[in-house]
Amino acid sequence: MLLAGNILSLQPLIMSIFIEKAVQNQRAANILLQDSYKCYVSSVHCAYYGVFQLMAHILRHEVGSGNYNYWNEWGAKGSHEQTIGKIFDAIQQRDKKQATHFKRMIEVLKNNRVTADYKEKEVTIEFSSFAVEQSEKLHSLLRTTFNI
Amino acid sequence: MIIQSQELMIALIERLAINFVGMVFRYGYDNTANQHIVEVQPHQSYDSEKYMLAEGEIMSEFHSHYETEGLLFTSNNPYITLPSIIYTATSQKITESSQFYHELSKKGLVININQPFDAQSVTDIFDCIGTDEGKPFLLGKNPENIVVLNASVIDANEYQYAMAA
Repeated sequence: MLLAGNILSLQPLIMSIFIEKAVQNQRAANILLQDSYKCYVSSVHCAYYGVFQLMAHILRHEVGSGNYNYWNEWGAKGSHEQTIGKIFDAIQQRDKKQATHFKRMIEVLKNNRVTADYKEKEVTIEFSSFAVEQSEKLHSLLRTTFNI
Repeated sequence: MIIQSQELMIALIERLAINFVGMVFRYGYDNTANQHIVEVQPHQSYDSEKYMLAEGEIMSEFHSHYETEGLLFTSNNPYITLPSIIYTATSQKITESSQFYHELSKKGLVININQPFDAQSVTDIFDCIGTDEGKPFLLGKNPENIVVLNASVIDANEYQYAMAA
């Protein structure tokens, strides 16, 4: 009985690893904005990946086992788009208008991340603050929608 | 693959333009972000519930064909740089008193589709007759004026069209 209880108690811990990563990245995104760091590029990067890790958790644990094979192919070209698409589909089944909100915001944040990481374009505090704000809205939307 | 998905995107924003009279959709592709980007105007319409639901349907349809490519609909966002515009789709409502209506009439491109019409006779004028979600539409032959008349959303004296830019 005691053993069964211990095994069961481990399950939420395992399931929350991606959530913990998402929370860390979100925290980092905010910290890196501060005057003592002014790491605006890194802040945008963390803001995006924090949301991505939350989506990873949802895909793996909240929207059914059918996505496990897909999960193993992560890192391939287009895998982020596939992830976004699958989360979008899952939200659409619950609330179509909310799904459009989600898709707009995550695609904007992804675009911001690509701009910050790969484009020869200055990343200002305003740009970075906008990205962090988007990521906070996305965290809230995803957690509410999937009851996390 | 990208060329094919761009063709689909053009067809999809044309569909939006037909259904949302007065809106403008400017489309480009960001290769670095692997993202199709559509700038939507006016912003007020972009945030309307009816439009948002339609945009969601377009997102779903695109994703069902090209799941490894991103699609962003945006409006008035200073933090999104639009790539080179590939295509612009727009539509507007016209009436019998409008100049455009008279131009179309001269070309024989406008008919009153609220009246019964002979499908065979209009095929001489239009390339395509069909339905879109149950609404009849006609696609004009004149390449300069791609005309779509959508019977379900107009009254006897009003017509709407979508024109390729």
